[in-house]
Amino acid sequence: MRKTDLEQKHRIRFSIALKLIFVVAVVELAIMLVFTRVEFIKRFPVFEAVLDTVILGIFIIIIFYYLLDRPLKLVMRSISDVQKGNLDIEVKIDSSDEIGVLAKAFNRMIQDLKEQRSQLVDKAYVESIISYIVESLIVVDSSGLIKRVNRATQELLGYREDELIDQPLDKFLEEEEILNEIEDGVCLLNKDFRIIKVNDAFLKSVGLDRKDVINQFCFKITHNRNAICQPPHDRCPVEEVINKNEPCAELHTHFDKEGKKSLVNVIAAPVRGKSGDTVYYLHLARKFKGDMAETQISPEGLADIKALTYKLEAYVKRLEIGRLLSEGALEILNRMGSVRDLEMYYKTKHGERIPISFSGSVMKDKYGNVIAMVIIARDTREIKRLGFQLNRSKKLAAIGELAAGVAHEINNPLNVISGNAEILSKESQDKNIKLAAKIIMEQVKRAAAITNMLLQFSKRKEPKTEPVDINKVIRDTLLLLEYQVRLQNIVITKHLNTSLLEVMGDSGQLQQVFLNIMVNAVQAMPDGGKLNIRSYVEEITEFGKRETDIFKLGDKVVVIEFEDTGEGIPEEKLEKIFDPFFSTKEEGIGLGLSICHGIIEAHQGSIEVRSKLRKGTTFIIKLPALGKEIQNG
Amino acid sequence: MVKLLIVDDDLPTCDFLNRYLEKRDYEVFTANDGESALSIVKEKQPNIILLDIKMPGLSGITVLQKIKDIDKKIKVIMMTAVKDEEMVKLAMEYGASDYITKPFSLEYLESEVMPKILKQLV
Repeated sequence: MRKTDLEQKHRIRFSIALKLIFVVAVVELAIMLVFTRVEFIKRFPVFEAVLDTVILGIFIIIIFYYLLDRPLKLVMRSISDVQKGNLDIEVKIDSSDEIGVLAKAFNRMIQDLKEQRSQLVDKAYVESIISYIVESLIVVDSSGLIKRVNRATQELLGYREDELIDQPLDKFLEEEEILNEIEDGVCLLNKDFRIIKVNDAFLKSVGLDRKDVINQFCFKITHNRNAICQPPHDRCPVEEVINKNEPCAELHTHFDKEGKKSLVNVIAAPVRGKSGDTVYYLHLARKFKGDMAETQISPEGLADIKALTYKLEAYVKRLEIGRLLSEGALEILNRMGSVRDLEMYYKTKHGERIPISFSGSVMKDKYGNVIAMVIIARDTREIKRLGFQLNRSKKLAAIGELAAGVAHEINNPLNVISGNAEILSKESQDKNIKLAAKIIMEQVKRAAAITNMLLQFSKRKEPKTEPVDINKVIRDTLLLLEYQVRLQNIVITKHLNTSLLEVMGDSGQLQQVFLNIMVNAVQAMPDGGKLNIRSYVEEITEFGKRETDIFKLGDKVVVIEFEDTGEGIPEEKLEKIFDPFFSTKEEGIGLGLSICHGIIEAHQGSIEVRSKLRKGTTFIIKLPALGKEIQNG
Repeated sequence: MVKLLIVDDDLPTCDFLNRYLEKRDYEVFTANDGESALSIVKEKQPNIILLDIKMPGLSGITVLQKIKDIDKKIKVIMMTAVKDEEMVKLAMEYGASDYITKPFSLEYLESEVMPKILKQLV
């Protein structure tokens, strides 16, 4: 029943009640008047009293019904409405008696219920908003313990919610830590000799936790002194740097927290910021090995230090200076109130490091106390990958242009060299001269092969487009390798799908790719091994590393895999493997795989490599499949 | 004696080809650009021309067209420092007899390319 209905009915009933009371009173008065004149009643006054009582009773019942019972029933009905879940009710009874009080209390209760319910609805709403945020969201309390995570966080980190709640966030974060790339204990100091940043090696050498050293004086931590190192004890190399503004070294005795001594060469160097002014001082403590007692830095050592400071300077310039001032993202956040796009890593349950862009703000109460820190972490893998790809394409384009020009300019003199050598060889009777001329001509051929490769690389010819039977291309390519393979005791197994689909492309170019990969595989197994070649059709159901912008889900692709049991490729080299002029082989010029990459790219396909050191390398090529099956499998 | 004109903006190329071919029953002329090549063509009426495709000024292809305008019977062998399929196709369409890609061996020029051309001359 709607509120307005109820009100109206109620009011109507009331006015009816008043009218009835009035009517009853009038009727009774009339009856009394009539009765006083009726003979019968005059003779029986008792009857008159009875009649009066009856009328009065009816009158009272009517009054009670309308004044008490009706409002009560109204309240009862409202209560049963509430039970059914309808809270849009208000009982309007404007009396000040118990019923009125009851109605007011009832109304208040309904109001409270309504508020609570809307709060509940709001909370659920907010909850679902949080859980639907695509970026990883984490709320930590003032001590850095995780209090809330959303779905994206759980997916990214690989932990369940209950595995994350009440854990310190630091456990799952890793800073982009260039200092940790250095084996020596390194810290970064500000102008007041306070430690701003340290690496793990430094912490190990002093036996302290990060939080114990940050913002402390370097002399306190490494010498347990209360003042800056001064002769006759130790000369402070940082002070020297401040004066000279160039790297300086000193032999120091450092102490760890237990007081254990160690002799170290301390090398200090200025780290300049955006403006060119020195903003930090690098403090590197290299264990003294007895061969470099002088306070001079060796030329190689100086080059190392310079390289490191350049790196640090690049880092300092990339970040705003303030952001480097403290250690740990949470500390930075706490101090700054909010941070945006710090480059960090999530450490996942599976031991992966996922690059993230870390932003957050601090939530404070009205007294300024930190209640929580709200953090959003954006997965930047894709951005990094695209940047990486873009870089590579740029590099390829630049090299391509350069290569074309160079090849042209070089082929002319090569022609002249080989022509003259040929004349020499033909005209001389001297055996030695003939041999020398022959060698020159051979070497010219070799150089010409390289310029040719460069050219091929720069041209990136559009592949011919004709239906290609990949299995046939693989078999043809294998023929070329047969001899080498037998010589090196390599076993080749083929799992070529007999109902493979055709691909559209250039069989010559594809053969070049397969040959290149197989030759690499053979070279990676000088003492024999296995080369497994597979071909099969696959439907794209999830994307590999480089495939998102190449294929769509549901695309049918022909997959060709070359898996060797060679020495494998170290991880840091793996991502550069398709770069031009990058080679893992000593004599390689580093164009083979980048040409392969170019060819597969021109075929609208993808090429990926997986490798495990000492286990082997697998190349996986995917090419868009045509609808047609190949002939005679 | 067969008259042979070498056209290349690269002087050492002209020089060694000249030195080699002179001794092999050719009357050799050289030119370092298209213009002078064309005047030699008009003056000396060479039978065979070795013509570089990429030259500053008049390009090899233009020079080829002009040579053919002057005398269709002159056999032209294009020389390229970079094998450019499109360019080669174009040169053949304009009447070039053959092409060689630098660096080439004199042996190849002498025993593979020239005999075919010489046959056509007779």
